[in-house]
Amino acid sequence: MTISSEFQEVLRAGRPDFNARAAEARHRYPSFNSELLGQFLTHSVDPFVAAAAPECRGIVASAAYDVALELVGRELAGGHTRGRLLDRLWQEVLPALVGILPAQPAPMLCALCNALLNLHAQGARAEQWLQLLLEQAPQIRGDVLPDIGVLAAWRAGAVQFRFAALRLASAHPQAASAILGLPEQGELTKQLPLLERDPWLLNPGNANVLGHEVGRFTGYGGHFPTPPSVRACAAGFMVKSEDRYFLLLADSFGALLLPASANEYLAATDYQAPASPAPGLIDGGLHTLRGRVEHSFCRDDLQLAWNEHSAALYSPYSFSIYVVPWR
Amino acid sequence: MPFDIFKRVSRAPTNPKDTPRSRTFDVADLYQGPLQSEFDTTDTAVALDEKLRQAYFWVVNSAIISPHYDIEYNDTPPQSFVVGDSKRRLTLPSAQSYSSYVLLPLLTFATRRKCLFVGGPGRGKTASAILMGVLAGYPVKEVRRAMQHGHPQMTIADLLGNPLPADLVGAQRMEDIRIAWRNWLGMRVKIIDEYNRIPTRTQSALLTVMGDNYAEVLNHIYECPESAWYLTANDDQGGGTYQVIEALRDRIDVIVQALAFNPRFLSDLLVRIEEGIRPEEVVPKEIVFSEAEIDQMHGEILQVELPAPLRRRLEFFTSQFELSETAGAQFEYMTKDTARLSAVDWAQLVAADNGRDRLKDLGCQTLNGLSVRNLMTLLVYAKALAYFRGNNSVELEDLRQILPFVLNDKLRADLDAPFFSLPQNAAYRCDSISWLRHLFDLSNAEYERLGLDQEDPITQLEQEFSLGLESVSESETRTRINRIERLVAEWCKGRKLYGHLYDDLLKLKYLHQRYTNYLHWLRSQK
Repeated sequence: MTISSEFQEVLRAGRPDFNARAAEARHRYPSFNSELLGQFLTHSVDPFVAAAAPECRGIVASAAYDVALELVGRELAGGHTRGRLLDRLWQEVLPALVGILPAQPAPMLCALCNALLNLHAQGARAEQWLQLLLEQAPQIRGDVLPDIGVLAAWRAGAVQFRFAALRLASAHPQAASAILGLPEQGELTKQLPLLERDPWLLNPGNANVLGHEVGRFTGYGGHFPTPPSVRACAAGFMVKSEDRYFLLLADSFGALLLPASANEYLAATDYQAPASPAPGLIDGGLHTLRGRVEHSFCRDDLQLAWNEHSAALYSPYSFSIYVVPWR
Repeated sequence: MPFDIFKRVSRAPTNPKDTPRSRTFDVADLYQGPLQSEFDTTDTAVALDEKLRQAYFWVVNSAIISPHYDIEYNDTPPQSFVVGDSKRRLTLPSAQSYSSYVLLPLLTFATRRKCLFVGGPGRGKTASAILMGVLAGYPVKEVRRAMQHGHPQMTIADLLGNPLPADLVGAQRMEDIRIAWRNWLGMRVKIIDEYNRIPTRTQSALLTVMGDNYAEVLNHIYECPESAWYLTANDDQGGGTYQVIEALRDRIDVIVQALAFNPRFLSDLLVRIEEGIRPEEVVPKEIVFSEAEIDQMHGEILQVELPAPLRRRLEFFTSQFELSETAGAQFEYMTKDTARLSAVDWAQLVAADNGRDRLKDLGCQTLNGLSVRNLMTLLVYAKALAYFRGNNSVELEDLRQILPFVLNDKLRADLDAPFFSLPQNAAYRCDSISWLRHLFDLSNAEYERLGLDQEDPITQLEQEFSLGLESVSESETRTRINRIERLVAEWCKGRKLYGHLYDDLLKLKYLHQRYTNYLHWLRSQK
């Protein structure tokens, strides 16, 4: 694959400057891979630069080149999963957004790369986030792009943004409707308090959400060195695995684990879970107000923690936690 | 340009603590990450201790190549390895540890005290001092021009300023002579390069500025602002062209040694040559402190708590060194200071002192005791180190780590003492930092052996006394006096006199005297 004539033209015009920046990046990053830079520029940056309008192509190319140097220098680009996600961002999503990027696009390019990397690192569905942005690209303006990114992030499983996204949803009802399946403006205003209260109220794709399984053994790239123990708290669940602590957040769009502290885990002892009605374990099965929930855990010594809306099933024989709605 | 190799300041917390965090997730959280974006919260006010740590990490990572983590902290037992024929121990610390060569000057900057850099030529002593000037907000050129270079012809006028020639000729009175004061006197960071090359007379003028913070020429006084001082010397023995006067040496608060360059870091030097970069010229503005910030930081450092049990350990350590049983006939004069003032031969005095276990007694390892100035400096630097580590109170390890740098060249080793003749202690003859730390460890071990944390009669008496004498009855006063007398009698019975016992007895005498005076006053009221 060769580089497009548009990008070639820009690179040729600023050759000494581009070369100097690459030399500087080589100094800054000990493991800088020049070959990888060439590949990333050819396969990923080129489609983005080529899609830019001729009058701003120079600025776009310069910004993209700097971001590419940093991505390669920090070993974020490449053939690994993270690198492939970045490739898709540059090859498909950014060309669709190039017309709405600010006049100095570097900070926004960095922000979008950061968002993608964050979602991937947190275990959210980064592919879905990219797809949602791609679908929304024709309808959105540059100034609302960050907000749309947050809505899409929540939909893709970044549940920590639920409250932020609900606030943004009222400002961007059409996008919220398209991304989250929320009702249109009038209904949304009425439903917002309910949505804020109940994390499982939304029903993505009209599918009946059963729950989410989170966590894996660290030896297989997961979070838990030992089978976790769980305590309910108002926000979600506090999880302890050996000397590691996590906050487990879950809603109908997904579940994820965020770093927490021993103090937060201890503080969760004071949380009073609702006593009645409440989910329960009967003969190794989980019974909720929604009915009996099937699970794949060993039925011996099964444990249950619950808060206002969610129940977390865990076992001393498993590295996973199964979170379900119980009301 | 996004690539400023030397201008990166740590954006992550430099010493993260297990503190409750806010669980309100912001939109910006999604867009912040490894790449710098407009969502980065760089403009939020940084706590001054965090800023100080950012400055430390910038200096240590980008400016001064000093990969010597000699101030070691551990939160779990560290990995440690024995190496070489001399069986030296290499420890891999398990917590954030620091390079004294960068940390001590920074703490000096924060506490506005006086730091001496020692080491061979070309080790970056002057460059480090200049960096500190830049951190105080001065342009590099101004810092360089204000730096005083010691040389054998340096006069007081060179150092402080000249009377205006026209006034010298025309003035009828001294007050009419105007003085052109040197600019450096008004700066908040003062640098004296190669101070051991300054002639003795000029050193005396320097002493006035360092000690009393003012300069005097022809009866005219210039009041200097509170400032941090950095002095450099090619060795710490007062060598060079002139002997450094004792009082000037004593004004120096900490001494840091420039350790040898590790050639494994040659590539870092190469980058500087190739890029034509001098770190002091590219100090990031985020780590430059304003005058108000330095004042505030100093105030915050002084607020750091020194817990009473820790203070007690320091008291115990300090009391080891001043006693010289053969130097005085009266109890109060049995000190090394008495011996020193009398100019009696030290070896003779030591030979006469045959009652104690000279290996066990820590006091036998030193030629002197600690001065009030030393102790005040130690307390301030211990607080500063705790502050730098983001703590509200000083920990034992803070004291243990900072103590050798403050007492270096202040608590002088008696190299003829039996301790230094033991083969395993031979290295302490040269390495005073390790010796002082070892000395503190031995003192702590003794403190623990005596169980003074659990039971210390003096502390109990002190607490009782600190409640005040108002409404204490005559009988109660008598009871307390009796208790003190019994305690003195018990302690004097058949016990060897060690430093800590000597100070305890003096303290009991003090309390006894205060109660006796009070008793007299009570009787006079009847």
